[in-house]
Amino acid sequence: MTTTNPPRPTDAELAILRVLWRRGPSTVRAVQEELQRENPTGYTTALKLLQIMTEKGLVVRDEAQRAHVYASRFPEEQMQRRLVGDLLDRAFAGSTGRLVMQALSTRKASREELAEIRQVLDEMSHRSAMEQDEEGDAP
Amino acid sequence: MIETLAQHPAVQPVGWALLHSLWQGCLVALLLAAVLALMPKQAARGRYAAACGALILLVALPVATAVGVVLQEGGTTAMSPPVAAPVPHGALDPGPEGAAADATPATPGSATVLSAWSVAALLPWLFTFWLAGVVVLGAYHLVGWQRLQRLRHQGSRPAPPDWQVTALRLARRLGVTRSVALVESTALEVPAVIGWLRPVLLVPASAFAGMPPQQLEAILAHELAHVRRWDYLVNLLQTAAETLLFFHPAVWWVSHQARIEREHCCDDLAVAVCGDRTLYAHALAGLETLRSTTGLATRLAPHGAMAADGGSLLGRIRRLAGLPPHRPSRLRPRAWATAALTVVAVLATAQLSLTATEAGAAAGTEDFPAMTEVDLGPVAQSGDWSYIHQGQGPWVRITNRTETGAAYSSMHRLNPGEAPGPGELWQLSHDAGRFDFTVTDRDEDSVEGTYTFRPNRAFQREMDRLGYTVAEPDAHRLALAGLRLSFVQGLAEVGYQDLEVKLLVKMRTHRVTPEFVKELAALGYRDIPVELLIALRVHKVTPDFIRQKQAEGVEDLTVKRLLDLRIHGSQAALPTPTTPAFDPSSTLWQALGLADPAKDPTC
Repeated sequence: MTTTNPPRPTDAELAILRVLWRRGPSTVRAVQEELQRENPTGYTTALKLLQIMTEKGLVVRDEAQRAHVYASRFPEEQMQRRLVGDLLDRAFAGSTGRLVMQALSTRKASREELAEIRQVLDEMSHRSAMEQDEEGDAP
Repeated sequence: MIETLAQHPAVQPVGWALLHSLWQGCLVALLLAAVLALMPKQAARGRYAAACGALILLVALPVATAVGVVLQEGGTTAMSPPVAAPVPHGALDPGPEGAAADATPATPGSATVLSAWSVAALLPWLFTFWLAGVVVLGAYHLVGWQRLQRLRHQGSRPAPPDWQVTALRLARRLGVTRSVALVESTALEVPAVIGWLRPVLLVPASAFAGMPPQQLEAILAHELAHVRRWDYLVNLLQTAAETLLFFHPAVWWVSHQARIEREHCCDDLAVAVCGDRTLYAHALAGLETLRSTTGLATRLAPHGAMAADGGSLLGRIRRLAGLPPHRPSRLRPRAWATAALTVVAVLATAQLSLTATEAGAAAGTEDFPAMTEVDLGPVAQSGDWSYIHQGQGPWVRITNRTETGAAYSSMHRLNPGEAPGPGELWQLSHDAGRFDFTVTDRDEDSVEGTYTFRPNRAFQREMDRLGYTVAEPDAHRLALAGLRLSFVQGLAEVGYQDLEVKLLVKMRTHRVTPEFVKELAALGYRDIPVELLIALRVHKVTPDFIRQKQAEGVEDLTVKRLLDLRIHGSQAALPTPTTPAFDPSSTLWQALGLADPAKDPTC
């Protein structure tokens, strides 16, 4: 379990994780009360977040009792390491991106570029289809 | 810290290399731009070779500059006037020599010797700044490379076996002999190759699922083409070049061009393998779409990344479609900017070198007007002469016979305009007297004849007034040496009088001018013995050199120390001899390596 790379949490998810690390496995109500202290958070919001986090694999849910108990899947140190790693990756992305041989450049194509690409591709397909037709016609 | 660094032997060569790299880089970039403009856009391999060649040039030129500076510094320091035959005579070179010998414009070496004081002080700063930049950027890339290695293992597992088989097949077709590991990774969003000895081809898991297999094959072919061409290794070297020349925009541009063409080369290879240009173009577009939709920010593509690597996708697809790249207007302002930058850089460096050489040349040329009063006495000397042209200029050899029958020759270099004409007679006039030459023999390479010398009695009178007795043989020699009365007067004004005539000639020969004496006085050196003045000149201890050493904060800069530094170029001082009084027969002459005038018959 600890060998896999933890998924990256959003800010809100990170806040919930901190609560769970502090309090240990907790119910939704307990988590919501803790969150309330810093930011007004509704019960449904907290529930929604915890459900998403379970899907993502950040937390595990114990459904033995009526009020489900959520626990963080990864220990705090591991998550910290992952976040620091993220920071470092971002800091050195200029170098790493330059040193690899990638199929596409690091910069994503803009919407205008994508539209133009689609046009060119359509043109290419059309042309090659016509060439195939001609080849088919030739005796 | 700057002071100690300034004395480091690497500062001069590297500093000049950096300065000259500015215009060299611009020229190379312009040259590459011209070449690329002429080459067809489809000729990716040739264009890539041109860009790589330009990159090699960009690194090689500064290295050559630095080596040139090092070699020139360690070159000959003593002047050696050309001699035709082994005749017993001292240094005779009365023409305005020297300035041409050590002041060649635009070579970095001469500029090092004669560098304007401001340039010399600038170099340590340049060196420091450059070194700091290289260290920082190098460290950055080192860490980046190290993090890249982690990517090979983290979040990765071997790819599905059927794909491994496919990869092997593609590798064979491309001619890749090394074993390439195909790996499925969660850390990337786009397939990539890491490593060159044992490369790893990382493919995002989403690509295996989200792309049609034929398209993914084409992409894998592109990546394997990188392996085949050793692109990873070349890219490492390219990054090293970018680090060394981080300050130069031309280097970044050329490097970028190389990367663009590299992708085009691999595109071409992938098309050759999969056989369908349209399929491959669709594969690239499909990959881009996949990347955008998966939305996971992965390690190689942080939010808002820079476009430093590879060509734009649109550009590549247009090229595959056979369409010309549009947006040339984007290049135009950049091209003009580079051209302007080159012109400025070239002019600036030329100006720097030129001021340096002017400073040096100014120290060499003298302006001593000739005597106007001429009162020629009877013939005092006569003998033979011959005119020869060799080495650095035309010479006339004057052979003199004394009453005792002994003959001695001396060589006299002629100034421009002095030469035997087509007629039978020609003359050479100097302050000290006049030579009248009669041509008796003329063939294709030499002219010869007899001559007479008549001393100028006005010169003798004036010299007498200055305290010098110019006896008969001396007048002859002074005339040959081109010793002007104004020169002697000038020396008297700066405090050098009552010297031996032989010494006067030596001072004249080695350009110990009143100007030189004044410059030394301005730097704090007064009352230097004549033989040391001559030594300073012989070993090219120029006022600029002294200023440079003073600027560097070198301690205890006595004249002897300056000579040590110039001759040996190091801090180690020679054991200082006790200062003897001026005595031509002393061993100081020998220690300084000068010919002893007492033993020198013609001096």
